[in-house]
Amino acid sequence: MVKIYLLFAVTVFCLFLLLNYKPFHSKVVEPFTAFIAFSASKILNLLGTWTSVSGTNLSSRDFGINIVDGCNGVFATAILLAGIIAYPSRIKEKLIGILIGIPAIFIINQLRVISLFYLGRTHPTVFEEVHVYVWQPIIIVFAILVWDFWARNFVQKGKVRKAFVSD
Amino acid sequence: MFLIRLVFFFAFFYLLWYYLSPFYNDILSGVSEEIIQLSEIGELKITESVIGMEKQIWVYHIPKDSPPIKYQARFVHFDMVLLFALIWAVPNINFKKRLNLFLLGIFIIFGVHVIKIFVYVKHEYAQHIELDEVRYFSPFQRVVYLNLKEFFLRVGNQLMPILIWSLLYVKHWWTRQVR
Repeated sequence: MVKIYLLFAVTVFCLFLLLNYKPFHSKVVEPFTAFIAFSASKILNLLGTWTSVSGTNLSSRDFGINIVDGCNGVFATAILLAGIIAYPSRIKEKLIGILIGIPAIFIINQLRVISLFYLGRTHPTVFEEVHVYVWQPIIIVFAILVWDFWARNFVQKGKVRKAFVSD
Repeated sequence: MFLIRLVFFFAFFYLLWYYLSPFYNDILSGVSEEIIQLSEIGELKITESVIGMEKQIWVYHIPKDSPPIKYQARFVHFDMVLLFALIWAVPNINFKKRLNLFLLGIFIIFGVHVIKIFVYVKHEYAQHIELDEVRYFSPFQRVVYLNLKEFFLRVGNQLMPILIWSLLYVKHWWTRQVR
């Protein structure tokens, strides 16, 4: 078990360094964040709220938000991926976890961006509170639930039992 | 069941945190100041302040006429709300054991908060060495403190409660996983 925790910690830290590495950040993280703004804008337009997007800025006539690093779900995804990588399972099972995890965090993050956009337009005084104190814990708890769902439904117990018993 | 309990305890501990933050800031500031001063930063005063709705921890540093560094309390210790909610949300644990884990959780997360303040202050000094001719921070030290600060701000605030909780409940959790 100690090995698993160590692997988890090392993976989180390596992913963090990668995400903070400037060339990777500018070529992968920033375009991904811009894509979040773009897709949120499309959804908002479909829902009847006219918005425009410029890079990571999402705005309507009366309100605008800038999606920054903490709000793109990338670090929550990194924590989830580290959990999947470190958990005793086969490569195929890990790939399934990654294929489930990344879109799941993306979708919940889209919900966050869209709901916060509406909230900012209608109740700007509580925007910051909900942004920080409600949505951030929701995202990380959601990541745990996705991991738990994957671990219980897609991972054969043999390796897990072995890791547990060996301690 | 777990989710309902989690939401309930999150709301409960959020309210507690909101009202007890200034008190916790005081304790945290006092201990952090002692620890930081042990690490060769001499003249330093950490205090807490509540400005309107925002709870802040202020650090006064050298040179004395420079403005204090302000850390918003939520970036330092809001993560404990999630940790405590997680500890109390796990079903089927007897009260005494849960209380023990809760106390242990408080102790560990307090240590993490002291480390956070230590890193934030060290980083602040390392970035402004031109203001401080007494201490020298090598480029490597600067990079280390910068990355640690970024790590705490971006990942640590979300990761630490999960990590501590999973460690506290390791046996319970793993038994459930292999069942």
